[in-house]
Amino acid sequence: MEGLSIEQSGEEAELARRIAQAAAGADREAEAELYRRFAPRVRRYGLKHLRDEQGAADLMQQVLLVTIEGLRAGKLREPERIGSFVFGTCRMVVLELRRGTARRERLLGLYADDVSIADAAVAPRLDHERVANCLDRLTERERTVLLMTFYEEKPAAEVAGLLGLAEGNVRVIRHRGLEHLRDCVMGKQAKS
Amino acid sequence: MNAFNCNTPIEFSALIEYWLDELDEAAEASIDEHIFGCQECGAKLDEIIALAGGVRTAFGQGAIRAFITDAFVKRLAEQNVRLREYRVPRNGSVNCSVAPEDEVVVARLEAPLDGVARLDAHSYFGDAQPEVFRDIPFDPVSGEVVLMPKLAHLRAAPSHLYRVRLVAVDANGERVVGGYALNHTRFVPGS
Repeated sequence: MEGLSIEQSGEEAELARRIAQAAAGADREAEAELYRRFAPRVRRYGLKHLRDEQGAADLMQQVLLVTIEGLRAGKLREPERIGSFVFGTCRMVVLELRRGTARRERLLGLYADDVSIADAAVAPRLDHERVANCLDRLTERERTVLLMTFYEEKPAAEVAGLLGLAEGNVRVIRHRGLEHLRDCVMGKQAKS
Repeated sequence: MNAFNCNTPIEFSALIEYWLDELDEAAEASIDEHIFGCQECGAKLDEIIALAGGVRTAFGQGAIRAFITDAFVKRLAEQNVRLREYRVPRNGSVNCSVAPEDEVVVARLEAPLDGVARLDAHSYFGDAQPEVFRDIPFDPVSGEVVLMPKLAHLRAAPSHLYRVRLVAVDANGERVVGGYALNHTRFVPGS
């Protein structure tokens, strides 16, 4: 984790100090709050690097179990750098998950019953009917490019090959289309 | 979540490229770190992830009408998507329907597209006002335009005649490339 510099709030450092200074498992409130604050970030990292909802949920649970257990056991020398620790743990655990080790089961078996798992706010949930209506409002090219891009999460080069367009052109259409879709779905002022 | 404000917000386009694995290793690692600590940029990425999922859901529900390409149809077929395809000759017609097991229906409208830079599709559904779909995507060398209608609408629609006219547009004006008629029969179980 050396060299990592993750922005974090002073409140998160304070939560980490509280957990570290309390008797093991005594400050459940701080543990739950730390979990609530970091869970969405770990999940997001998992979605990006594992491309799997269940994998991201597993990562979230595993990384935060390791973190809280590390704080309880006094293994974090600098609780004020909790953000960097969690991020570094994410990277390591993703590598381990990709290797398919049994670490998750071992950790869950050791600690799962002993750590408060708070509800974590996750990504925005969309009204599917609204998404469909907003897709109707896109230009023909925007709709086609977004469909071909996100059906299988394909990069611009591949979509360009499917459509017979230049890669740069696909990027421009994709960007505009996703902005228009976001503005419509999220209720923002439509851009011209 | 975080108490600080983001001084170096990541561009929306860069976040899209990040999500789609288009960045080099160093750029991706840099955004990994930034997003982990930045609620504002993390929330923007969440929006992209949610919208991407929304597009897939709409597709799965048969709620997207789009002009696609033969290459994309082949991609769907490779993934064992249950496809129903109709080939409609230029200035011709076809009888068509949709079965309960179909996941995607496409109409391949045969058309000479050499030299066509922009193509519009004029759509006529029953007595409704015609709709014009402007600047539709097509592969000019394919000799066809591939229309994927909304499956959900097709399933619910009564038997009807649907007509499409492809119109090439250039500096000299408009030129009809072809007309197509699709005689849709509503699927009746046991028929």
